[in-house]
Amino acid sequence: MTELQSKLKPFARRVRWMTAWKGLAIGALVGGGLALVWAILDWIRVFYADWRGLGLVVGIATLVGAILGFLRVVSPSDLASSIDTRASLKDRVTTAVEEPSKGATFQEAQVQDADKALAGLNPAGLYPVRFGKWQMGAIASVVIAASVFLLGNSPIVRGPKTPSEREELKEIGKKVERVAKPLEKPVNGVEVPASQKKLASELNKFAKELEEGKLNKEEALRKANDMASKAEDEARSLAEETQKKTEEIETSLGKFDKMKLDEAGVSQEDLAKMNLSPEEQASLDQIMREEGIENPKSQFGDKELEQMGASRTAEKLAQLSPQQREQLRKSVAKRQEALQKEMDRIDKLPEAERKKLEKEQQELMKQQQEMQKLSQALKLSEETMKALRELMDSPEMKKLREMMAKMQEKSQQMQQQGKPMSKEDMEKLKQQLEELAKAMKDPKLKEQVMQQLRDALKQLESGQMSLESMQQMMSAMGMEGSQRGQQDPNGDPSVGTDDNFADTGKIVKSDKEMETKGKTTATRVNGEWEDKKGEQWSVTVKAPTQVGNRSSVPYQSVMPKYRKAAEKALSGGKIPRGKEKRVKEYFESLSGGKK
Amino acid sequence: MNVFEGQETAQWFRDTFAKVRSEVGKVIVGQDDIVEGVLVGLAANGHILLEGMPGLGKTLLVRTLSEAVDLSFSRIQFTPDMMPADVTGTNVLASSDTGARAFEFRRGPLFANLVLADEINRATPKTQSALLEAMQERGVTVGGVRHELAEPFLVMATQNPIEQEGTYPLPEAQLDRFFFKLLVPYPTKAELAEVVNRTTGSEVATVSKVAHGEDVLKMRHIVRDVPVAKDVLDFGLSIIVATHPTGDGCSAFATRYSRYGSSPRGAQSLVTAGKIYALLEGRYNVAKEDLKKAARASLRHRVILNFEAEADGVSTDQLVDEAIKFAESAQRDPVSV
Repeated sequence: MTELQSKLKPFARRVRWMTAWKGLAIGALVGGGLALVWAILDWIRVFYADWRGLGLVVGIATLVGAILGFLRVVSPSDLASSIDTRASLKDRVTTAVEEPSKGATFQEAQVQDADKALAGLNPAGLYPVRFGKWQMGAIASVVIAASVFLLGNSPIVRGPKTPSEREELKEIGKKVERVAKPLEKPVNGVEVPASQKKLASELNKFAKELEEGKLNKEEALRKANDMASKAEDEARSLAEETQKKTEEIETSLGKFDKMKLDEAGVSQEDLAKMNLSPEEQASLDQIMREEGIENPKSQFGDKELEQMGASRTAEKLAQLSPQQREQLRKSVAKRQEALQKEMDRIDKLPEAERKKLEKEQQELMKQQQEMQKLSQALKLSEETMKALRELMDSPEMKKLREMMAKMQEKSQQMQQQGKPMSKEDMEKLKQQLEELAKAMKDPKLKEQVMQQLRDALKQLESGQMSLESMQQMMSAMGMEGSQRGQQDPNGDPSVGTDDNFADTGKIVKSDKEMETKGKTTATRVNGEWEDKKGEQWSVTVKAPTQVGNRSSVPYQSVMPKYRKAAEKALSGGKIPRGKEKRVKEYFESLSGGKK
Repeated sequence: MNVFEGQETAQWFRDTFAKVRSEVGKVIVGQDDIVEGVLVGLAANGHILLEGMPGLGKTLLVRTLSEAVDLSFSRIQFTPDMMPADVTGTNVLASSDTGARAFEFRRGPLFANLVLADEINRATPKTQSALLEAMQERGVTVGGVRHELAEPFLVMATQNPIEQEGTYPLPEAQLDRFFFKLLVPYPTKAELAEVVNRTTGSEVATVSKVAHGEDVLKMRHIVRDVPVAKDVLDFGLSIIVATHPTGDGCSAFATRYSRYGSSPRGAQSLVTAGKIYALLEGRYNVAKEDLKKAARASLRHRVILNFEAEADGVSTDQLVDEAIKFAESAQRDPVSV
C-alpha cells in the first residue's frame, strides 16, 4: 500500500459512515413510504395496522438502508475525485491515485504534491454530518405515515359515536378473540384445516376491528352476519364432504363384504334373484304386514349393497327366521293359487264377457308374475342367507355401521339445519372411532376404512368448530343461537331482533347506502319512513326459513335428497305404518305423481 | 526520476517561461494574455493565429519574442499577388565558379524559427494553403525535393477583422491547424499611456536573449510528461463533444447555434495547453480549471456557427463557454453523501 493510499484510508472510513448515514435516511424514507401506504390501507380497512407493525416496517427499512449504505463500495478513484471536488485540490489526488506511467518525469513529484494537499484536510470537515434532503424526506414520510394512522384511528374521524358504545364493542372484541383461539390450535396434534385457519384469522381481524373501535355497532352486526353466513356455508360444504366420505367408506365396506361373500361361495346369480322392482318390493312388504311379520331394520348402506351386488330384499330375507320365511312362502303360494283360480275362471267365461274383463285379466297376470318373482326370491339358498347374516352380525361391522349412521345423521343435520354437533357427540364419535380401531381384527378391513373414517371425522369436527365459533360470536354480540339478525342500531327491539334474515318486511334504518356481502341483496324501496320521505334502503338476507316465512331455497333443488331420505326411511321401516301412505302421497304430489 | 528532479524540471520550465515573458514585457505593454498565449503556443509546438485591429503590436510581439528566445525571425506580408514560391522558396538557375549551371533551391521566408505571416487573409487560397501545408508538415517540397524547416518552427499569423474587401478568409480546414487563436484587444488607457511614453521617448528598450532554441525544444519535451487523470481528460473531451451540433453529449446550445463542432485537433490543443497552464500554476497534473482556461483560445476558431447564431449575435466564445458549462453540469461528486 502506498503512502497516499494509507492517507486516503481515514477519508474512506468517513465516507463509509456517511454513506451509511445517507442509506439510513433513504431506508427510513422508503420505510416511511411503506408505512404510509399501510396506514392508508388501515384507514380504508383493507389491511389493518398497529403501531408496532408500522414501527417495525420503518425500523427494518432504516436498518436495511443503513447496512446497504455501509456496504456500498466507493472506488479509490471516486474517493479521490470527491476529495478533489470538495477540497478544491485541482484534481491532484485523482491524478495521483491513477497508475502513472513508470519513470514519468513528474510521477513522484505529483504524488508528493497530492500527499501534501491531503495532509491539511480533515475527513470530518470534508464530509460533515448533514441533515440533507434524504433525512428531511425520511422524517417527513414517517411523520405523515404516523399522522395518517392516528387520524384514521381517531374516534373523531370514524368509529363508535359514544364512549360507552366503544367500550361495549371493545368487550365484544375480546370475546370474539377468545372464540377464535380454539380454532387456531391443532387438536391432538392434527394440523388445523386451511378453511378453519382462515376463519380464525377473519375472527381475529374482526375482534381487532372491534377492540380498536374501527367499526360502529351497525357495521359490526353486518359484518358478523356476513361471517356467520360464510362459516355456515363452509360448515355445510364440510358436512357434504363428510357425507361423500361416508359413502366412500360404504363402498369400501361393500367391497369387503363382496370379498367375504365370494369366500363363502355365494354366487351372484343367487343374489340377483332378489333384485325386486319397487312394485314387487311393495307387494312383499304388504304380504309381510298381512302375515304379521315385522319389517327388519336395514343394516347395510346403499353403496355397500351396491358393491356387494345384493338388494334390500336379500338383506331383509336374511334377517328373517326360517319359520317366517316358510310362512311367507306359504302365503305367496296361496296367493298364486288364488290368482290362478281367478284367471282360470275368466278364461272359462264367454268371449264377450272375457273381453270386458281384459284389463282385469292383465292385472291378474301381472300380479301372478310378481308372485312368481317373490316365490323365486324366497328360494334363496341357505348358504347365501348365512353369509349375509354373518356380515350383518359381525360385531366390528356393526360398530362401524353404527358410527357411519351417526356421522351421516350429524352431517345431514349440519347441511340442512346449519346446526353444529354438540361437543359431547363429537367426543362420543371420537371415542367410538378409537374403540373401533382397537376392536377391528380384520387387517384388510382396518386398512380400507380407518383412515377414511378419521378424515371424515376431522372434516365434521372442523365444520362443527366453525359453526360453534359462530354461535359463540353471535352470542357475544347479543344475538342468541342461530337466530342471527341485524339488530336495530337505534335499539328498537321490534326491529330485527329475531328473524331479520327471513325478510320480515321491516326496514332497518340506515342513513347511507350500504354494501352487503354474502347471501344478501340490497333493494331500493319507495315510500314513507318515519320522519324521512323518499327512497330508502332495505336489506334482504337469504337464509334458512322459519315457520310461516317464505323460503329462499327452491324446493326442486332439495327435493331429490329429501325424497331419497324418505324412501330409505320407508324401506327401513322407520315410518309408522299408518303414516307410510301419507309420506308416499306427499312426495308423489310434489313431483306430479311421478317418482 | 525522483521527486526533486521532477520539481527542478518544473521549476526550470516556469523560470524559462517567466524570463521570456519578462523580456517580452519590456517592449510589449499590457497584452499579458496574448503574450502568455503566444508563449504557450511556442512551448506546445503549435502555431498561433492573432486577430486584432492594426497597430496593436502583433508584429512587435513576434519580433520581440524572436529576440528574447534567440531564434531566427522572418516576416511575410501577405498580399493578393503573392505566389506560393514567394513563401516557400524556389529553384533558380545558378552558375558555379567553374561556369557550370545548375538549379539551386533559394529558401523562402518560411525558413526561419519564427515566422510572422502578416495579414494572412490577404493572400490567395493557393498561397495560404502552401503556408499551411508547410505549417503542418514542417517542411516544403519544391521540384520534388523536400526541404525540412528549422526547429523550433512557429508561425504566427495575423489577420484583422476589418477591411474584409479583397480578402480571402481562411478555410475551416486550415484554421484547424492553428493551435490557438488569440484575439488581441485594445489596450487600456493606462497601457496606452505607457505605449505612447515608450515609443515617443528617447529611451529604447533593449531585449536580451534569455533562452535558446534548444530550451524551447526541451520545454516541449517536458510538457508531454505532465500527467492527465482519466476524469480530467473525460471532462476535456466532454467540452469538445458539447460543441458538436449532433451526437451523444452535444449541448442544446450547440445544437441550436453550431454548424460544425471542434475537431480532434481541438482536443489535442486543449490538453496540451492545459498541461502548460498546470506547470505554470506550479502543479504537476492537469486540472479541469486548466482545460477551462485553454478552451476559448483552443476552440474558438474550430467551431463554426450557423446562420441562427449570427442572426442572434452569438459568438464562438459564447458557444465554447456554453460547452464548458454543459460539461460542468455533468460533473457530480461521485461520493454523494
